[in-house]
Amino acid sequence: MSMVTWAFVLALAWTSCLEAAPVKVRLLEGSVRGFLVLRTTDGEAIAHGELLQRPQGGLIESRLTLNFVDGSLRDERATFSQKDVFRLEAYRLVQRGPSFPTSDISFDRRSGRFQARTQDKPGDEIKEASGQLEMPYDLYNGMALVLLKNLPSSSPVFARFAVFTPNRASSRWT
Amino acid sequence: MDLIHEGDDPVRVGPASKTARRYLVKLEVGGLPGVIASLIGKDPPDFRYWLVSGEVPAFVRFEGAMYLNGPIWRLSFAPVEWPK
Repeated sequence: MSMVTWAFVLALAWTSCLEAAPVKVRLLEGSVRGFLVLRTTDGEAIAHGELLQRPQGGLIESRLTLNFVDGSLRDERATFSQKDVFRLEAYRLVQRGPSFPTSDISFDRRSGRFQARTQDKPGDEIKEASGQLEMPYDLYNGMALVLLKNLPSSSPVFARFAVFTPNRASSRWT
Repeated sequence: MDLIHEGDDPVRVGPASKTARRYLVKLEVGGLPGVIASLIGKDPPDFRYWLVSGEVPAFVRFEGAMYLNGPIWRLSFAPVEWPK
C-alpha cells in the first residue's frame, strides 16, 4: 500500500472515536446556479467560476468550478443524498495549473474505493494511490456550505473531512 | 472539522443593512494531533464562511486556503455586467 494511502488511513482511524451524528436536513437543496469570483486578500481577481447544483437520480450533484487567469483549474464535485440527513455519496476534486499543487482525488460510497493523484508542491513528483475506503456517515468533503445552512440554531457541528497528501514521514507504520 | 458560529458582521446589500453570520470551519487532525500533523507535514487550514441570516440563509463570502499551506483567498458572487 502506498504512502499516500497510509497517510489517509491513519487520519481517519484516529477520528473514529469521535464519530458524530450525520447532519439533519432542515433546508432541502435543489437547483442552483451562481457566478463566482475568487480574489486575493488585496482584492485582485484571480479566478472566475460557477456553482451549479442540480438533482440527479434522487441525489443532488453540486459542482464548483473555478477558472484562473493563469490557466489553473479547480473543479470540485460533491454528490449527496438528503433523506432526513445529508450523506455524501461521491466526491471528486481536480486542482491543476500554476496556482496549485496537482490533485486529482475521487472516492464514492457505492464502490467503496478511492483514487488519488497528488503533489506535495508544484514541481514535485506526482504520487498515485488507490484502494478501499469505507466512508463514515459524517464525512462531508465539499459540503461545508450545505451543513452551515442546516446548523441547529447556533450549535457547533462536528464533521469529518478526508485529506489526501503524499506522506513525507518515515516508514514506521505498525 | 468543527463548524462554529463565530460572530455576526453588519453588511449592506444596496441600501439595506443586513447581518452576515460568520462561521469558522476548523479542521483538526484528530487523535494525536502533533504526531499526525508532523507525519503529513502540514497544518490543516481554517476557513470562514459568511451567510446572511434569515429563514433561508444566503451565502455571501468564503475566505481561506483551498489547499494545505496555500494562500488565503476570498470567494463571493460575481457581478454580471453588460457590455458598454
